[in-house]
Amino acid sequence: MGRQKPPNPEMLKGTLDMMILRTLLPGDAHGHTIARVIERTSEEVLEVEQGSLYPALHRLEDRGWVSSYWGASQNNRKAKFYCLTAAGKKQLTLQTSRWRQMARAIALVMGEERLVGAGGQ
Amino acid sequence: MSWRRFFRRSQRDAELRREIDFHLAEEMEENVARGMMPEEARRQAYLNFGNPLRVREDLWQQNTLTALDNRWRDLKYELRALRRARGFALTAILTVALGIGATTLVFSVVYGVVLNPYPYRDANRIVQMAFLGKQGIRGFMAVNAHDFETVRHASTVEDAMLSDFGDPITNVSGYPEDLEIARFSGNAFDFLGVAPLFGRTLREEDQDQPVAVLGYAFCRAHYPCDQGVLGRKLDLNHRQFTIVGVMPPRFAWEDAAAFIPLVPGNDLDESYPLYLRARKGVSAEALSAQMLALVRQFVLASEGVELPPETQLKPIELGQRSGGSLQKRLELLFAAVCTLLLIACANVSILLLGRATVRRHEFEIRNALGALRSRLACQLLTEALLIALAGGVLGIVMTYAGVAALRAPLVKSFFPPEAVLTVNGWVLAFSTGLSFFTGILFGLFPSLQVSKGFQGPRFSVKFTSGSPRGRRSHRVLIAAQIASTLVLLVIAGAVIRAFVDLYKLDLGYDPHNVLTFRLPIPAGEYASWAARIQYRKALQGRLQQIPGVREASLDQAMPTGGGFPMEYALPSEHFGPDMDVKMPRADLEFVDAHFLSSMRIRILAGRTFTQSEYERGCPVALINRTFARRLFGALHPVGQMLRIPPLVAGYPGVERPEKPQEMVRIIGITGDVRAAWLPAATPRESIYLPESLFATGSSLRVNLRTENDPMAILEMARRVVKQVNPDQPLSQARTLSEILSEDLRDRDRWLAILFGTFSSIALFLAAIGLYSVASFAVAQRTREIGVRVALGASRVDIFRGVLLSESGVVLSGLAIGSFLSLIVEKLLRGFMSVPAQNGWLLPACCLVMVMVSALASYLPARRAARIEPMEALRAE
Repeated sequence: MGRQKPPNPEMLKGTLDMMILRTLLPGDAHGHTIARVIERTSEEVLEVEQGSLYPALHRLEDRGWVSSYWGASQNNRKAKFYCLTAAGKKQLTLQTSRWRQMARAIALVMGEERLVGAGGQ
Repeated sequence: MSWRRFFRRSQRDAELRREIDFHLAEEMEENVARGMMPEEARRQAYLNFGNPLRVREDLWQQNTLTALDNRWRDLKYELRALRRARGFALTAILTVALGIGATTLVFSVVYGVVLNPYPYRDANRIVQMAFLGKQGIRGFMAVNAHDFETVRHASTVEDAMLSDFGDPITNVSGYPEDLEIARFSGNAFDFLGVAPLFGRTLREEDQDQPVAVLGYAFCRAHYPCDQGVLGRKLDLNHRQFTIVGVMPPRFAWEDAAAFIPLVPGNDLDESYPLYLRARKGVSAEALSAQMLALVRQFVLASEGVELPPETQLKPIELGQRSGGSLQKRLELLFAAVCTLLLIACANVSILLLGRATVRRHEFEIRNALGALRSRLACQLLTEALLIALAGGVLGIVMTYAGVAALRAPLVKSFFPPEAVLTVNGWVLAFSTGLSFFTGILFGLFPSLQVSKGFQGPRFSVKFTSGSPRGRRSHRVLIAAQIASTLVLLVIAGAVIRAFVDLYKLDLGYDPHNVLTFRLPIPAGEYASWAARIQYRKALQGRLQQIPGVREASLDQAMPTGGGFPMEYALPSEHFGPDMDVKMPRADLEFVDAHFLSSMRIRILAGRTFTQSEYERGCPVALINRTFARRLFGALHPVGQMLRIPPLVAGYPGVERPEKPQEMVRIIGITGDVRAAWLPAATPRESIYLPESLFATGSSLRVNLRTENDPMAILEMARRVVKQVNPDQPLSQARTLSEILSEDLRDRDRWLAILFGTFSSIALFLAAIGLYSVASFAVAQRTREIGVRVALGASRVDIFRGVLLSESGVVLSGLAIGSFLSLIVEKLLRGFMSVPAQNGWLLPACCLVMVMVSALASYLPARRAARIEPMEALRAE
């Protein structure tokens, strides 16, 4: 097999899910907006692989963390909007705190005190 | 993963497509806004997004039971592929169907005869205890009323019953005849655990009441078989029995017509045959040991004698009284048919391998396009399972047809009366399991081949020379096929040969043109010895005078079966009080002065006795050759004396001449007579005595040697019997050859037919396998052969090359097969009479195999020799 192994998909998937949920916290959005928001807020560091965005959205919907409806976009196109459900909000809190713990743990190991302080708040 | 999602996949996919379209449109718009040209904007949008189809596939996968979906797709794909390759599919399916059909058919017989022959509760634990002697079973354990209770409560015994037989005379058919009646102890129906069809069974409270339960066959023959039969009367020996129940068809205990109560009397001298059910988990040894201890105790208590220490008891299961050779033969048949199935599997494997090689190109391309090898192997396995299941269904249809065709003859000769031959749930489950098993078995070889991967240059399409890929597996399969076919042929040859020998066997008498029937004597008639002899003389004289009758004999003997095994001794030998166990036994045949001559049994030395010696009850005897040789060796037996204690012992119902003597003088030696049930075995030792020495009051046997068709005499014989005694019943009228063909030869004939059929099918399948390998090789090498012809190879060379290309495989298959069949033959000798001079059989079978293989290679070889170089090269 000449192909390079992709990075651990489980971890990526989890992170992407979390970021999607976070993006939806302020209000409903369609897939394109979600991708844009993640890219902009991460200062263009995280480039969402758009191919995996949609399966992720559908997965979240299947789990009941987001719900969807068809509406009109700003350009008056038919678009599918996603919104956070109550279960989704709960999940977001859960994942955020877990992520913070993880980030802090990694920072401790790496000796990055500044981050530890920030994460420990 | 919910099923709802699985079924809504298409809808979800459509939704996603619109979503993606929207996304791309937005993206393009943005790009345009950044100042890109529309073309470039579109390109960038797609670049950024990736392949939309992949995304859709991902989601589709998310909503799918992948494995299931793949199998379903494989199934559809292979169905289409098989439809395109009709010849292949048809051959493969028919091959499997033959294998599975034959195996299932034999399984249904095995199920009916071996696995579940009896309807009785826990029938495999019901046994009779047999006393063993040097010459086999000497008798069965019987107990009186008192000891019966002791046996029932023994620790190794779950329960026991008593049953004996009688043949009372009845008038139910309008003329007097005797019936086989079983007498059952009160608990017997409970013991056997079968519910009646109508009415009730016998109970303890019936005691000595004249009530009867009918067997189904008897009820069907004489009564309306419904509730109306209850309460009607059955006359047995002038006693009116009330019918209280009818048993279902499978309850055919010892073929009895009806069942009446047996009440063990208080007479402790009277004992009855005992049947018992061993407790679960009790070994035969433990049961025998306890029963033997009990018997010792009983005998000591009643007769005051110790049983000799060498007395042996052994439990004999239902239906095993005549030995387990039938079961062994069925096991052999089953093994043979399994071999046939394996041959069929090898055949399909060969076909599949060939097909996989042809499809190699297809597989390589698909592999290059990203199909996993395991997926391709799975697909081949799916194809194999598809063929197996189709073959299985067809095989079941064949089994139904086979069972319908074979039911009548097979049931008669193979089955105990209780057993049935049907295609039931077990049989169906067996053949379904078998289909799956065979599918995996013959699919495994080719699919392993594929999953190992194709070696050699890829896409080297069709320019194969010498040996195409998969040839080694082909070779192994062909050799295995040829070896097992040879083994089958040898077994079938031995079985058929044994059967033919049986037919040609000199039985020691002439069974043609003999009418035989039984005369049960009504109870209480002809009480004295003189009256009995008088009756016999009068009847014999009248029967002899019937036109068309050459000679009539009237006694207790039939040539088909041995007489009564009874004790004898040389005058010099003496035995103590336990003579019963220690004395040797021979078959005593009580005959009249006409029996030996009318049966055409040869007199080898001396003479037979005369009518007047018979009437006077002279103590004379003839012995057969086997007996004479063993007992007297080189001495001349004629004139010697024999001691036969039973002649003076006094049996109930038997009348002796005025001055009975136990010493008899040997006056002649007869030829040996073969027993009907074991014709190939060594002849038994027989002593022929005048029947007047042992004149029984229960029944007589008439044998009429006729000039023409024996059955034509029957009506006249009936009339004559009636003239002498109007109350004399007549039963079991048949011809001797009919009895022989049913009892003795039918079973072996059917075995021979089945073995012959199976081995022919195997031969045919092996030929097809070889043919397909050879012609496949030719097809693969078309181009090579074309080149060789173009380069000047002669057609004869090509022809010979192809013809001999498989000869190595055939020869090694034959070598392995010969070796195996030598082993198998040795096993066969263990339980059937394989003819000794069988040396020619193996070479003959090898010759047949060689000829068939030559034929199978001939056609492809001829095709190869006709290949035109130009056409071959254009064949790409």
